[in-house]
Amino acid sequence: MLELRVADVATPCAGVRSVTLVGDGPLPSYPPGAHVGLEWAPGRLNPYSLTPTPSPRGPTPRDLPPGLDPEEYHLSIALRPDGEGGSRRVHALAPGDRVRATPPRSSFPPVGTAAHHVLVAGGIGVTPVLAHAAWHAFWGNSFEVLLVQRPGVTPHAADLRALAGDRLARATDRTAVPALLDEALRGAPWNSHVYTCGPPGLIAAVAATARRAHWVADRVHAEPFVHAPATGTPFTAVLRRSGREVAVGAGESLLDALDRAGVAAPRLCRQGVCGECVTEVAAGRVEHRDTVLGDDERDGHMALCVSRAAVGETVELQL
Amino acid sequence: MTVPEDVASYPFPLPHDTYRISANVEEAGVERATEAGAWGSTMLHVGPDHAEAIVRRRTIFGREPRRFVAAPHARAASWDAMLWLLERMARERPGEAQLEGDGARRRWRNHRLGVEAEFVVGDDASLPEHPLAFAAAQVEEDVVVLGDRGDALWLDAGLVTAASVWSLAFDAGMSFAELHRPVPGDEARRVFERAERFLLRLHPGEAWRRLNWGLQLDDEADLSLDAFPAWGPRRAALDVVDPGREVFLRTEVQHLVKLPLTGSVLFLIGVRPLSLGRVATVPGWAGRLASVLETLAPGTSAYKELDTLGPLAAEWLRRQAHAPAGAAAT
Repeated sequence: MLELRVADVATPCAGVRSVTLVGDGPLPSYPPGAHVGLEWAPGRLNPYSLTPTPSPRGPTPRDLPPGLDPEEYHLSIALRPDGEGGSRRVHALAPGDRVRATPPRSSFPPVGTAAHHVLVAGGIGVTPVLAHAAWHAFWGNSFEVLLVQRPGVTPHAADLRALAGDRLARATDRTAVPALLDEALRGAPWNSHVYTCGPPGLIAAVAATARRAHWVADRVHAEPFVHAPATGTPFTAVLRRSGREVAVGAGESLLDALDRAGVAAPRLCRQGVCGECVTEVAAGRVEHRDTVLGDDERDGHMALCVSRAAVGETVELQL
Repeated sequence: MTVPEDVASYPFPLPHDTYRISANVEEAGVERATEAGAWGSTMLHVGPDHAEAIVRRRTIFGREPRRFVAAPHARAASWDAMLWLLERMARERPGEAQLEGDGARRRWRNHRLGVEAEFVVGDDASLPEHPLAFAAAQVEEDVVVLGDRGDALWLDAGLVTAASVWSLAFDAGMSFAELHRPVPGDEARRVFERAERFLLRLHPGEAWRRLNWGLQLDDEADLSLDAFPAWGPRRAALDVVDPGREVFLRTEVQHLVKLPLTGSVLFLIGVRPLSLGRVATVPGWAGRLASVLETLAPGTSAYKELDTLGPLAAEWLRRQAHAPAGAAAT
């Protein structure tokens, strides 16, 4: 874990807090789209995207590659009053406060072989998109940005404009989004990749538009920031080490149930991507919903955050 | 009696009396004790013949430019690899190499080789050659950059002058699975599938290592397919007169680094040939190597081309164990 100090806080728009974190000297470098897991309560981490250091001039050839040897980490976090408490804790941070975070983790990188990058951001999903845009601007890659915002409530819109210039298209009206998406995806050159960070509806709209425009799925990327709950049929998990039985309800994930029972389990992304919560399964068939485990690894392992026991099964965990 | 440096610092690769192909990765930079000394506290090797090793690499690369490849899309990853290598060298040998400046403009000094350069990070024109070639030409290790795309690794760039029966120019652009297709057997294939998943899941900046090994004639590190005419006929003829002097254990110290800025994997291969005569000066090593050669699975033996050389080496090592003390110290 990195020991960090809050150097500055700002409110770029209503409901969003930007936090500047520093360490002792340069911090670990990070790829575009990377996040850190910020500890908001002992053992509880939330992933937040790293945004590039703002530059009033915008990037020039003399600037460093974004993410290289940063002096500061910048995060922008939307307040979720009904969340578990992570965003409320971040919004309460003040300069001088100490926080702990994981080193950077990469979960949403650009694809280097793409002929052109189409970046789509909705709401606070602008944070990893901003990092991508800064990266492409520095390295001279071909890119365009589509920003879906409600008037006045998207942070970093000005930063994005400085980076992307006339490669930025904005939609403040939801009804304008389909046409803009369609234009971008139909007009993009062969071997373009599209990256969306935003609410599930926007991600689904981009995927549907891409399908209609005959894009292959491998070139459509997304990072959801609203976690779809990992719900399904209730089941029971047996913990081998303690012999305890934990009942998992229909409306919660196995990880939620373990938290409720006070059982410590590692986690980070809570969407089956990072692999942090992968646990050994001693018995019971699993309905795998993660995107991290390979076929050979699924035999005997499961991601606690999204996967469940198969219907009618009980899983026994090495926990 | 003092142990000679090449033996004392040798990364002897066989911890057990039997061997099968495995991913056998461990954390990089951790010192590991052996029966003869220790190795592994640094990631970049600087041996007594460092200058000669560098000149040898430069000569091969100068003669055959195809020993270097770099896809256009590997530009950022090449800078990432270069900065990692220079920073690593400066950190491991601060008296011999320095990387200064924390903005875009950096100054690199490698006193060992008399190299001085000023460059602007990300600006290819600020260096006399490709950034990856620039850095790779200053380390003993072969350097390969694997891009992380679409849940797979792809050979994007590299400078390799000591491949063991493969060719960088031939392999350029291949996926990790394609690169390892010559490895025999379903079990080994599964090992490499797991290895690829492991590498894909590493976090930016993490560094791991593994050892690989084989036997070869003479101490020439360049056993690439590109140089086959130079070593192939002798290997086929196998006209060994004195195995203690002519047969070498070839250990490859392989480092796997998830590069911090791009998430590409930097793969470093350091080749350390040691004559059987030297191996035999450490009885534990000689015994384990002989035992491994005697019990090698047929597929693995064929893959490593040890069907003839293996028994020959094992027999010689066993004979030394019964020879008068000192006889093996060649």
